[in-house]
Amino acid sequence: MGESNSALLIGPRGSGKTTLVNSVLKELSALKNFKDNALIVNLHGLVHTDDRLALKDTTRQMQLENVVGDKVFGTFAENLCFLLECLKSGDKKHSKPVIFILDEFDLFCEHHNQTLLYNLFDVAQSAQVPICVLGITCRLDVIELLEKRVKSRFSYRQIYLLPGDISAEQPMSAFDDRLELFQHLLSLPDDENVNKIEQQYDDCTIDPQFGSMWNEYIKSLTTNVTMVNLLKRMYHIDVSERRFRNFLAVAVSTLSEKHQKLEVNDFVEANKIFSQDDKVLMLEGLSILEMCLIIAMKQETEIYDDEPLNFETIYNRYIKFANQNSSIQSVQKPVIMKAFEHIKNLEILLPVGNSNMRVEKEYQYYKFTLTSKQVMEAVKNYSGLPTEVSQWASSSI
Amino acid sequence: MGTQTTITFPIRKKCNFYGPKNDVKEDFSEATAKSTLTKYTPSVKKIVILSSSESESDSDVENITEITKETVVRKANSTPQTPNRRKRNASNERYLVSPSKQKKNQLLQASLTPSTLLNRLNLSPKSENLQPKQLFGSNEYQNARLALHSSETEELPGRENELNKLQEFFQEHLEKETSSSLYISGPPGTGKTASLSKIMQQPEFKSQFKCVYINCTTMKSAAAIYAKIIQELSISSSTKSGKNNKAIIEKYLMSKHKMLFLVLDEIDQLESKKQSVLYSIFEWPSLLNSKLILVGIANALDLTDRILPRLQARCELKPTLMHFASYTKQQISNIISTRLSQANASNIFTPSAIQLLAGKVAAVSGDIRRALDISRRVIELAESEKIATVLCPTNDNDTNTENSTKQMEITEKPVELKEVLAVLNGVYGSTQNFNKDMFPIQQKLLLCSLLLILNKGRNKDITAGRLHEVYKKVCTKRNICPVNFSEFLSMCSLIETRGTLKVVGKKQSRLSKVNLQWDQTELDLALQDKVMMAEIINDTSCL
Repeated sequence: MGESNSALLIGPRGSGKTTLVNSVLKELSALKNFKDNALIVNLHGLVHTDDRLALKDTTRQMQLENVVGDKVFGTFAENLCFLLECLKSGDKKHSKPVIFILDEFDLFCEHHNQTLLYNLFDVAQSAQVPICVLGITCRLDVIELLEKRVKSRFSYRQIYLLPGDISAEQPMSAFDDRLELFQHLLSLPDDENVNKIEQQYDDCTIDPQFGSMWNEYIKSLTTNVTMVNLLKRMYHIDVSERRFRNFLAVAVSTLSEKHQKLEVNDFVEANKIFSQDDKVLMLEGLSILEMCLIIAMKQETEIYDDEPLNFETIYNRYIKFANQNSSIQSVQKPVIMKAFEHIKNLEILLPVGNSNMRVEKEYQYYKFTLTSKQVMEAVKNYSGLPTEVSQWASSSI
Repeated sequence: MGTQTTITFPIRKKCNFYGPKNDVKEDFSEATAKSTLTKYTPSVKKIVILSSSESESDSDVENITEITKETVVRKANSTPQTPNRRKRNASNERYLVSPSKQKKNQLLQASLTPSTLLNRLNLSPKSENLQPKQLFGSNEYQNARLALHSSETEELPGRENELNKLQEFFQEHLEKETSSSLYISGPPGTGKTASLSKIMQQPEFKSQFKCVYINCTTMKSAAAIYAKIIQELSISSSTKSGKNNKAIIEKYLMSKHKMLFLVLDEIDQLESKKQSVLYSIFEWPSLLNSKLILVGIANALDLTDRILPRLQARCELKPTLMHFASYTKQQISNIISTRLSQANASNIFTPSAIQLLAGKVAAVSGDIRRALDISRRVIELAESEKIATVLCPTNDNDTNTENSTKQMEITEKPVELKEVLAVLNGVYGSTQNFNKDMFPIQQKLLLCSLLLILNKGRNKDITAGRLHEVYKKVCTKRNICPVNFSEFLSMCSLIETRGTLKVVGKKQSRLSKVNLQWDQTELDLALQDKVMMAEIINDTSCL
């Protein structure tokens, strides 16, 4: 038809936006008419961080006149002018349609004056070469980032890809969908798909007998109560498919010669990796002196209700504790300072205000960024912590 | 010439959606499932094998860059010259024959500097190597869609007054050969550029004036406008640098020349330090015998007062102001109906549907582009529904009897209010629709805790730590297992990507502030539907 259009594809991260675009392009490329007559220009907001780079790459991908080999000649202004000339000199009937796919569209909105976007949408709005501008973004408020003149030229065609939007044909809950996905991702391909897989990977041959056994087993997993509860819990936190795939990859990577079946336990272990608190892990690797300081900080923030703290207050609190308990060795102040700085470097403490003020380091104020629950958990898991210290940690003030 | 570089890549799989290629099968499967070694492969126009020792292999492994150029002026829409295509084009006689060998040799001797390439830019639309598409089976829907595309402008209904005013203004100055400046303002989509281009396209206008139209958004900096004007006026500038450009233009204006008509679109892009560029441009008409009519177009009504206050001081510099108001409901419906009647598709829309659409758009922005876009979307929707009804299997139950009668109708169904409303809701509706399972349950709990603090709490500035405390209390009260703090933060950032929250100060994990971005009452209403959520929002004991 030679129509020009613009559209935005919006959805949270990992909701299959790029997958959708790629599959549509794949289907279209099967049509000979499309394959011969459409030019596709892919731009990515993270790669083409300003309009100059984006233009250079556009001219290169459209294989225009001023491209020799792979180099593009001309300044930004010349390139832009040239590109627009090219696009304007075409008309609806005779020129090839160009499809612009702008990934990370919201980053293109941060460019100077939104020059590139304005010009692309302007061409789409006027009787020139038929172009289609497709923006892919994860920001729902992306329309508000556009300038008014750019907004006016955009056709307000927004496609939302929200996870859990299931078509009305399958009246089932969203979680059943997740179970189905679980089964689908872990199952080996059945008879008609085997050949396709084998063509893709030369060294992959699937014994049909083993395949059917494996699939039966996976199917039995979906009825396992522990498994279902685990999946449900994960699903309640995050519905995106990408994270789920990562989780499955961790589970599948435990398979080996000796361990040939995916047990429920593997999934539980994999989930632990995903759901553990890394701050607590960090605390478990500290020395006893540093743990004592952390406990002192925790108490300080509890007593004084999140007031910022400095080294001196922590030091005094620690010394008070160390003097009461003979089993704790007395340590020199510089050593404690060293431990304090180590904690600071782990970003458990964050400086208040700008740190370039001329303050002695003992009196520099910090904020403590851990919750008391995290500290208590670390104390509980710390192997070989003296009992006095753990008692001190749990003693209420 | 013709150096040949050989770069070998460890290619695992061919993955190409970059540029047209004919020799490799398109294959996007697993494009996202695994990271493949993708490689740009520009289709090689002509492979020049210099040394016979090089074995020919397919272009995916060897990237042969050669610097031979054809003299055919290739346009943006160049296609690889397959013999087939060549034949067809030759039969159409719209194709420049490929250059003879002699020519190529001459070319090869010519230096291929970028400047020569750029100078050879000749974008005459001669070398069309695509056949016009056969509009097979073009039905009413398609006609209507084409007619409603925003690029189709011949007449401008609803802008007759402005057009007449402009005509008079230009005629007057043309007869007296005086110069003047005009500033046109108005919101986007009110037909400013369309009106001017319509006037500029009149033949008598073209003959009397030298017209220059420049869109300032294509300028990299404000000062680049001078070079562009020089290029448009085709004055030969002696110096390469842009320093004297302004002086050159002024010299040209002082000399004897045809009446000049200069249109600067989106003139507010030319703001610079102290507005020197804009001032100097607006001062040109006051030069002696400059014979220049300057027209500036922008959105802001008060641009000349706000950033060009010095122009007010001198009477002769004061630009004439003209404002294009937003379209009214009547004008929008007129435009749509005239366009449809021109395309003989006036029965596509019911009059009430047009009224609804026009009323809604006029109430919000009065932007004709948006009205046309929405009407096109509506037609698409109607079209898809029609196709759906045709494809629908005819059963004998009551619901489908209507459909089967619809199939019998040869005339196309006009657009009803229903479709218009569907599209309008898509455009103007809020993004905050909590349909079905838009949020996972834990995220809903988080939002509810936030609302609880906002509604009932005393302290309104919420840190992530405090929110987590409340959230945990909420969860334990309902026997839901709460997530730990790091997971909680990642949940916050997930909700943030939807634009619901804003987390300020991400580095201070527990002390970062959490702000609600959406309208609180709207979110409240959305969550109050669910019994449990309503309980949480009103449960002060968790604070």
